[in-house]
Parts: sequence; structure tokens; C-alpha cells
Amino acid sequence: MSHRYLEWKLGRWQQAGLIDAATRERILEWESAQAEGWAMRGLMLLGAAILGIGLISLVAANWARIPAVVKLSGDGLLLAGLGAGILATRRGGLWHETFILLFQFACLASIGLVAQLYHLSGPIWRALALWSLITGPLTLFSRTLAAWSVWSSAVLAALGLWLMDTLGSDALLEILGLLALTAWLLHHLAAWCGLRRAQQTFGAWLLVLGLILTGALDLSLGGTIRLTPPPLWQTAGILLVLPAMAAPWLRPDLTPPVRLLLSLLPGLVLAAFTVLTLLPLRGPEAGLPSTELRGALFSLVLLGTALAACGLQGWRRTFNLLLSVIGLRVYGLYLKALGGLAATGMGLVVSGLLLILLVQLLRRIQHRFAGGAS
Amino acid sequence: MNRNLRLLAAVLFPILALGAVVLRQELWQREGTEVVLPIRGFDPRDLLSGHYLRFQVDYGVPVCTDIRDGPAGVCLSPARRFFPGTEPPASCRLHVRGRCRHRRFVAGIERFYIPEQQARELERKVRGRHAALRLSVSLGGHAAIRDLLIDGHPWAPPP
Repeated sequence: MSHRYLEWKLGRWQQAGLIDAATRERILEWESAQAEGWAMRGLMLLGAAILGIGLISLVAANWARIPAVVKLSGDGLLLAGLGAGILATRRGGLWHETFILLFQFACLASIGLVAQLYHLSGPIWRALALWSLITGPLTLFSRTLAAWSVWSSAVLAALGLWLMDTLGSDALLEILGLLALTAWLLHHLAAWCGLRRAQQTFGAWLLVLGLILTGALDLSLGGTIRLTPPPLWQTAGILLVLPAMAAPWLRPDLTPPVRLLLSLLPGLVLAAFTVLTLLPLRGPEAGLPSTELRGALFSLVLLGTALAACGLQGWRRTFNLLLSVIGLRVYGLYLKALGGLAATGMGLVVSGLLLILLVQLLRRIQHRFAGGAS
Repeated sequence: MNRNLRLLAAVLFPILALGAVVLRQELWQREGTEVVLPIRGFDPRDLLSGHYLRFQVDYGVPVCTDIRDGPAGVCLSPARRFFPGTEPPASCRLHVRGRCRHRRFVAGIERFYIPEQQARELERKVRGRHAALRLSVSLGGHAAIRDLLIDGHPWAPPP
């Protein structure tokens, strides 16, 4: 929240008699102190991240003249030193978080060093998986987005690369689906465990992967691109989607309508995969019509369901993002369906007016039922 | 377990895990049977993990003829032969374990890290010369690289 917005908000509350001038000043003073701490924290963590990347670059430069035993000993001492720093600052705070982040990067540099000294080759997902495994327990002690963002990115990257290695790059839809599913499950698990930062980072990844998957399914269902999952997906998909649909019901912070809406989302994705598997969409040469309406309908239903959940739960930023995406999709649909800017423009004007009238009507109904309270 | 003990365990876990990896590699390098195999074919560098030469190992027999993808191995003694699957033939006394990927046999020994300053010079030396890998092969079939040989000699002079 920016300082100017906060001042304006507090001014309104003071005018409404909710707080007095002294309280307003205390809040502003406290928030200013937090903001300074936040900025310093950001700079420290940036410094730690740059230092960490520097460590990795040093490993990459190959220290030819230094014997292997000295490199390994130095690396061990560095890890021990950073570990001691973490323990010495165990009460928390900026230094504690900085040490944790540096330790994470030092572990990654160590893996690179060992691979270099012993000429180990293998897929990169293995190194990322090992790194995720060994730094996972320590990441649980971090309270910053930085440490969790780095860790969650490595987990999903390792999974994604392993899937590409195993299934092949032709299985793009399945890979996207499995990654989104993983992010979904980990997001809900983190929420259930009360790990707020983990919840935020996996939630961000879920949003990104979910939007990409929605786009890919939209284009596949509409016949624009040809991504057909194999029949085996059908069985695996049902088994995987069931826990995904159950996950929101474990969260006490969600209201029942929101749980219901969220649990529909994996089901809708499975339905899209089912349609693609049973009715493989090809071009006109197979005698099947390619229509963007199928893809658009799927996208709008899926995004609309997610939008409703966000609105009911009060997730404003995600709500606004999804609203923008829906708006773009509607524009694209009108353009395709009405076949020209003029007709599209008229269609959008009419739709926009209808939407504004509908919102006004809903506000009046809400006002009447609330007895005049806004 | 109180929080301090858990934090200590979380800090020690990666250090011990990395130590175990180093120990395992050292054991594999020191205790296996020494084998020298020629190499061929080179690819350019990987920026993340320094500079390395990438090559194919010449086992002296056709590999991945029976399978395209999957676990496989090459028996080195008493006679060289390729075998699909994870278990070597009963008569095989020494083997290298790996897998076939798109009809190429990989055993985790197809890269050799080289110093940044000497990368180009080494690449020039190795092309067109007889290059080989000195390996340590364990009883279980794991191969670990000990050194890169050019014309039968270690590529780097002793320190």
C-alpha cells in the first residue's frame, strides 16, 4: 500500500469518526518505519542474490590452479560459515534471511563444483532436484519471498525438465497440465500448513502455468494448434484430478462457495483433455470444422469460474488480472465471430452497456436487501 | 524437537548430503578397476558449469542395436558385448552400466570439465589425435572418470 493512499484512506476514516488524529499519526509513523525496513531488506537480499550468482560464476570459471582438495575444503568451510551465521541469527531478522539465501546459492554452487571436479554428466533436472531436496528443510525456516521463490522455481523447473526428458517435447499439454497440477497441490498444501510465503510463490506459479495451460487448451480445442494428448492421459488424468479437486476443501480460510468454485477448475481442465482425446481436432482435411468458439467457451468458463472465486474471496489482484485476460479473450472472440472492426466495435459497445446495466442492477438489489448499507 | 534443533538439522542436512556425494565419488574413483576407452565427437561449452568437452565413448562394439531407449550396459571383460536391461550376462566379469537414449549409449561419462583458459588449446590438441578416457569401473558397473589421455598421456602436466 503506498504512503499517499494510506494517508488518504486514514483521512477518510478520521472524517467518518472511526479513528482520531492521534491514532492516524501513530499508524502513519509505524507504517513509515516498516517501509524503511522493507526497502533495506530488499536491498540486502538483492546483494545476497548477486553474491550468490557471483559464487556460481566463480565455479564456472574453473579454478585450474587450485587443487581439488583445497576447493572442496574451501567450499565446506563456506557452507559451514554460512550455516553458523544462520544459527547465530536464529531469532530471525534481515541477516538471518540473508544467510539463508546465501546458503541456498552456496549449495547450488557446491553441486556445480562437485560435478566439475568429478566430471559428472547427467540431465540438469537431477542437479535441481538434488538442490531442492537438500535445501527444502532450511527453506521452511525462511520468511521471505526471495528464498521461497528461488526454491519453488527450482522444484517446478526440475519437474518440468524431467517430464520433458521422460515424455518428450511432443507432450507439451501433458507437461503443462502436470506442472499446473503440482503448483495447485503445493499451493493448497502450503496454505493448509500455514506457510504463507510458500503459498504465495506456488500461487504465483499456479497463475502463470494455469494461464498458459488455458491458452494452450483454448488453441487446441479451437483447432488452431494440434496438441492431442494420448488416450493413457484419460486414466492418469482422473486419478490426478481427484486429489486436486479435494485440495480446496481442506482449507479453512476459504468459504464453502469458493471451495466449490475452485474444485471445479481441475474438473474443467480434465473435461478439456477428455474432449481433445476423444475428439482429436484436426484441420479441414479431416472433415472436421475448426471453430474458435469451442476454445473460447472453455477459456471463458474456466476463467469466469476462477474470477468468481477470486471475487468472493477478496483476491483483488488476481481478480483484476483474470478480468483483463477475459476482456482480451472476449475481444478476440468478437473479432473472429463478427469478422471486422466495425461489427466487433458495435458488439462490444452493446455488451459493455449491458454489463454496466447489470452491475448497476445488482448494486440496487444488494442495497435494497442490505437495508441501505453499501 | 524444539525449533533450534530443527534449524540445526536443516543446516546440517545439505552439508552432510553433499559430503556423502563427494565421499561416494571418491570411493568410486579409487576402488574400481582401471579401464582406458577411446573417445570421439565433440560439442561446445555449457556456461553454467564451466567449460567441458562432450564426446562419445568408443566401446569397441555396436551399442543400442537391440533397443532405442531404456537401461542397458556394455560388458568389458572377458569379451566386449552390448546387453539390454539392467543385469549383465552371467559370464561378464566387468561391465559399464548406462542407458540407451535415441540409440546412443550414455553412462554418465560423456563430459570432461576443462579449465576456461586451456579450453581452446585442449580442443585443438584432441581433434585429430588419439584421445581416450581413463576410467574407474566398480563391480556394480558404475564408471567414474579419472583422467583424459591424449596419445596415451594425461592431458594436463602434473602440478
